[in-house]
Amino acid sequence: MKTIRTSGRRIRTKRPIEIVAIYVLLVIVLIGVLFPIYWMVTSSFKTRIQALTLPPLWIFKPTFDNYIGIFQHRPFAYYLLNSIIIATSTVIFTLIIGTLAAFSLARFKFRWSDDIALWFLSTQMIPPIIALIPFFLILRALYMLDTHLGLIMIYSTFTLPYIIWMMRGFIAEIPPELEESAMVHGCSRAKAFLKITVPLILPGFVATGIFCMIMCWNEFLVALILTGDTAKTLPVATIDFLSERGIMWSHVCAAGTVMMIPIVGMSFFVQKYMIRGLAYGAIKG
Amino acid sequence: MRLKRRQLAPYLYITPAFIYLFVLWVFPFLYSLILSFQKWELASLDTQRRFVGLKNYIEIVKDPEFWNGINRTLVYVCSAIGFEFVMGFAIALLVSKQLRGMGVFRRFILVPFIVAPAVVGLIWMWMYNPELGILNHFIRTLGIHDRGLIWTGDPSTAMFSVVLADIWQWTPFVILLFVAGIVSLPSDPFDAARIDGASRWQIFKYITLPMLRPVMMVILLIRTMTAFKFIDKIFVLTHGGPASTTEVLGFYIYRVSFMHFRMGYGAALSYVMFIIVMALCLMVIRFLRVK
Repeated sequence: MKTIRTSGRRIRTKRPIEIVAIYVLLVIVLIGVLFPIYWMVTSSFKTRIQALTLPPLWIFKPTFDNYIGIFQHRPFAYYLLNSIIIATSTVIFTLIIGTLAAFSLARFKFRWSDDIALWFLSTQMIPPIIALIPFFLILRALYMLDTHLGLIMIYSTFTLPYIIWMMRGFIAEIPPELEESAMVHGCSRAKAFLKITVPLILPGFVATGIFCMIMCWNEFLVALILTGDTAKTLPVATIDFLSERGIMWSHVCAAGTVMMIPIVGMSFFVQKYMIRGLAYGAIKG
Repeated sequence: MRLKRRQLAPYLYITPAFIYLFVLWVFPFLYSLILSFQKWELASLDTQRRFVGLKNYIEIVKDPEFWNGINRTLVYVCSAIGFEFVMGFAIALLVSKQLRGMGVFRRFILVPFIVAPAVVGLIWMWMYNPELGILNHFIRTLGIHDRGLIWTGDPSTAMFSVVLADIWQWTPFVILLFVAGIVSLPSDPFDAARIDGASRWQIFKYITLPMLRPVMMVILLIRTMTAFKFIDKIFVLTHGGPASTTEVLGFYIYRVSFMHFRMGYGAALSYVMFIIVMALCLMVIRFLRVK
């Protein structure tokens, strides 16, 4: 909030009626945005009968039965672990090689450097369904269908372009003079980058990582096709609930809530940086 | 020697990422291109793989399901993105004002964008439920309709239901990108215009709109790419049904490739989709690029 306040355009809205109107509108928007979430989360704390009651019970005694149900009577914890392993490994791997590439693209002007930067991003213009058949065949040839490593390999191709794009923006915002002065004092370029630039871009770094974590965590179609039971991730496991006869809606809502909470929690802290990183180029030029 | 190492450094840093994406992204991409000229059907009696030239592409042109898929995709993409763009812009203009509590608002509004599309599908499926869903309960209590809608189960409302869920998920993202763009605008042109006595509408039309072109471009590009890509919500909400009324192009490709296992034809279809996405993105860039 603070940085936004000090820079940019200040609009002074003086008329109180206008301010009230804006707030009323915002509250309406906020209700529209949050109600579906609220509905899922509360349904997950109701008993099976309560969840299906209409008119809905607005006040009820919360129960954890649904959570106990999905974790004890189903291998939900196993799929949760799969999702955690796959998302974190992908993010760590691509953050390392992606930041290296971003550093190179942000700090050096070399032949084709702009073309390469654009090429990285343009890979995301291709609908992944094009590559899905070859992915399937490659993994099958390597006996890596339904393995964690197979999915990590594929997800890395999705996150890497975004990491390079976002990190390039964050690094470019730090004036290179800071690194240069450290180099004058005898640091190597790599050391100057690690000691000077990395601490400064840390928020952007974390935001980029979390953004990519969300991508992996939420990915559904590729996981559906490339995994069976061993490497199955949460989205696929949750959708499985729907294929049962007599859908247990309260269980489904509990599973959805479990999936939602960690990433929403993480993104709360870095929301501002995430948006700025994505809009890089459009905002700063 | 020292000079040489210096010159090599930028290439050295970029090599791992470059090789990785080249091997695991460009190679499959080209592989699919070859596949699109082949006949390879894993679920038929004749599973042999052979070159058939342009036959797949000719089949696409004659395929009524493909054309229906294109129609539905255009309806889906245009209505969803159009609404998200206009609504998102309007709300962003309000939210970017310096009022108390805007930070909290921005923080909460991002939630739908973060929730997995598959879960978004679940939430809405639960709310759309004809007998037990909360939406029909509201509709009945408010007396809009005495039985409520069948939402995803009715061919006439299925696409609307999918678009509504999409709008819910993506409008916040559009709002936040617009806000990021609006607050980073330099204040000088606005001050100058005000001193010259420009009206609010004039300021908006001649300063705000043109200066936001780059942000608009990014939003439209990201949304165009993602709208074609993600079929998760449709997968969960309607599975392309009822009576194929929500079978957009992406879902049709999925059905051809992974339910009928017609690999060659699926690859050709996905190439056609790629060309459409490219063409749309180039159009957006052409219209909104700052000269």
